[in-house]
Amino acid sequence: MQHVLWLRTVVHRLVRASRPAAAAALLLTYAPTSGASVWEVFGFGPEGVASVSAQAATANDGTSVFYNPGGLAMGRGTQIELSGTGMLSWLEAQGATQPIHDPAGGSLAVGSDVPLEGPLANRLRVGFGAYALPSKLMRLQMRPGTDPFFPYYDNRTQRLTVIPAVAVRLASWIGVGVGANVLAGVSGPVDVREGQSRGLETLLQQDVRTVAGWVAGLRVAPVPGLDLALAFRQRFGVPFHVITTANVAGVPLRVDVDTAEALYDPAVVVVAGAVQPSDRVRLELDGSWSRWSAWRGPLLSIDTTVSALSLASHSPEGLFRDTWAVRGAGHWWFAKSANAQLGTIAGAGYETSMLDTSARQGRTNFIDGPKLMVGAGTVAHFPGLIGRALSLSVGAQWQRVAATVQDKQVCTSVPCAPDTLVGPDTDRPGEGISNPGYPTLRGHGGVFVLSVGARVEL
Amino acid sequence: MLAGFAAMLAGTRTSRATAPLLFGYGPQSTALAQSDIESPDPAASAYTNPASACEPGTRLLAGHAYAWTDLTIDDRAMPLRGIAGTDLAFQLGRRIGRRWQLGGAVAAHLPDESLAQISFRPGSEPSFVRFEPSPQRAVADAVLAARYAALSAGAGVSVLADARGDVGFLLGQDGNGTYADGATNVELPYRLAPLVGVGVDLGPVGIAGRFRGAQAVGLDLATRADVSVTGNPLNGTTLVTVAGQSGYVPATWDIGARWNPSRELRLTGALQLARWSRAPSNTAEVTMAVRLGLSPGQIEARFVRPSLRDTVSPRCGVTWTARLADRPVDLRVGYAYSPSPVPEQTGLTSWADAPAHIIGVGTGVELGQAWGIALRADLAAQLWMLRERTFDKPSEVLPFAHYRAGGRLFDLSAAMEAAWR
Repeated sequence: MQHVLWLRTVVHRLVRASRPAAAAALLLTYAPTSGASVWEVFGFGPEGVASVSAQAATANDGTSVFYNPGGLAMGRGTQIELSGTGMLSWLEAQGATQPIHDPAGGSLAVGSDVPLEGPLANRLRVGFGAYALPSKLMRLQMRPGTDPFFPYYDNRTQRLTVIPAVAVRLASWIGVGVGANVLAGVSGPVDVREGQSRGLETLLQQDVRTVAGWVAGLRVAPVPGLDLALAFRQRFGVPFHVITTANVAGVPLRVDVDTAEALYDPAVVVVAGAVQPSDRVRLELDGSWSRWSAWRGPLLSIDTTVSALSLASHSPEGLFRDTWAVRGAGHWWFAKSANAQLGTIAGAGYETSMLDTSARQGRTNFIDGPKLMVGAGTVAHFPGLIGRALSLSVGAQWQRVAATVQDKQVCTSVPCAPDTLVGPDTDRPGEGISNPGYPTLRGHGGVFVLSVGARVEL
Repeated sequence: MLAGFAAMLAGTRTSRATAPLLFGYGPQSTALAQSDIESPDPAASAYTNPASACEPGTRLLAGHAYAWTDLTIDDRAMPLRGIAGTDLAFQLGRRIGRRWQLGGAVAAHLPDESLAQISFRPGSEPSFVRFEPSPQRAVADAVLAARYAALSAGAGVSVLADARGDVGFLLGQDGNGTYADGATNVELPYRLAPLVGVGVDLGPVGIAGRFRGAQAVGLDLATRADVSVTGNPLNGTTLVTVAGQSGYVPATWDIGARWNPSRELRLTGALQLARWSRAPSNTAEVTMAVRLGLSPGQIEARFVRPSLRDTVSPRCGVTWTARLADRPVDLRVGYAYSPSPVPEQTGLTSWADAPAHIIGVGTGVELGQAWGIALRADLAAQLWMLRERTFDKPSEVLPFAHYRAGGRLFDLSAAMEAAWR
């Protein structure tokens, strides 16, 4: 009988708490675009990497600005974590290794109480997460349409990521939070022409406008030892739209380049639960849905006029599909004393492919497959060593992409279907094909990630 | 396109002078015409003087400033954007022992319309080099500071980014007809400008110094067009490279002093040296590498450096603290003279600028405690009056051989500050 009542209490609180958050998440899913980050692909900090990002119902420090801002509300005090992350790629496309450019960076995660009095006492917390590359703010790399590559990993981790967040603890068992994934997009004209000086003069006017994607979350602890979480991350892409006009020896040239969603992260909804059966063990299970089907793709959109000839690129449609993922992690404090605690983290997950492999590709050679993720790490916690405590941690993760194979189809008669390949000769369209994915597109491989960090609690 | 990337966090446009450089950061500095180098609002210390970032306490400032522009060339109003933006600043300082203080601060200015406007205008067109869109650029400063007894020092960086890379597009033809394809590879490497501040606090008297490094967004971007379409005159390869420094802000050296003749009265003064003479050309260099069946007449364009002049700007301010309804109220007034860095125009360029008198007024009120936070509100206004200036080039055949420049700017700034002491 007690179990039934307990279950009813849990369900009642959960339903009551999740209604507004679910409605908000649904609305935000359809909100306009708000880039991809290394956190989305591999995890935030050593513990995030080791747990394969199964953190939505556990994180309550600065990393919760990404995993679940609602969890930030459940923390206490001030935590500052600095970490470094490195990636090594064994991804192979057509027999060639595909590197991850700029494979190292540093993260900062800060979570802190806001010291207020009165009705807001012990209720408000703020958090800040940032990831930066060592030498540059970002790299934007859009490949030629025929290059074989993995769009899930390609040019998704090479940018500054900044997420400030605020969270409110509505009651001792529930917290809500919201953050903003902030970057900027660019639009404007570039014109090269003969000016008053009778020489070439450039008129260049670029507006860099803020783009932001919401990160929102709810965290509920209906009973001690149980945490439930709902988190939403709005899709994020960096828009660039630039029209270049020039006059080359009297011949007009106009190029409209649109990279609508570079450095893309899809909208993500995460549902998670964590249990702590003892003070030494914590287990978490996350399920997530990522709306990849809304992506316009990783290619430049070009609309150009050269002399009197107008040409436009045509990105393939319908190649991307939503993905589902399940992630689980366990944290075990295997040694505890007054001066030190040692723990280990293990995680595993699976995510479906964001590429619809049943859809045949023409000129393009995108590669992706279902992914298996395995992570492991260790944490050493030293109470009172610096501030309230110092934690040192290391996490590693291996992501394995299953092998994919697709046979290309050759055009037999003009006009050719978009999902076929064509050679240079109109009369013999099936001959002389130079596409690198012909006759068969193959890819597989994995990525190894290592993260080390230090956290101080004040 | 490429220039655009440059701006991500920083960016700029043709020239010069960010909004805080023109008007000051926050209402206090605005009202005192930036004479408060020795005694800045600690919340704004990351910008105004890094040495003050160690002031004990925790402070958060949120404000907004809007400047109306009424600048004219030949009595015609120049269509400039209003200079508007939000100020967000945070400062944290702690006393360590009896004589030491340590602290840090961050300050950001975020323009309303865009984080940045990057532009290169045609070099021969008239433009207000100090007031055009560079004030639309975001500013992001972070500093650390320490104080021992009466001596304090702080240092940090102002963060910007350059842009370099290439965009390529291919217009081709295969058995199915024509097609277009493209690729980019653009990087935004960091560019950091140093910030340094020092101060000596002798009680009723204090002196301070500040250095802010020069800033600009370097662009080096190439666009490559490969055209291979039957019968097109541009068949072949065209490589257009645009390179330049956009949004240059000069290095500035400031010295300032403070004197408190009484508990209610504070006098401040400062001198600012702005190294405009180091400014690079504010027009883009263009080069074309062409391998076509025809030859363009122009394949390269370079403009000379602008040879701007260094300026020394004197500033002074008065702050009177009164009591109104038992609350302390600061009343502030300030004056500054801002010489023009633009020399006489004798060539193709037609830059416009004039010396300006700057008057600022403002007030600040302690609002008391709410939820354990000490709240404060500040308001300020600043007026720039540019003396009308006539430019006469030596030759009538030069573009814009004669023109007059002048006008006014009016800036309003308001901010709320929360402090935990």
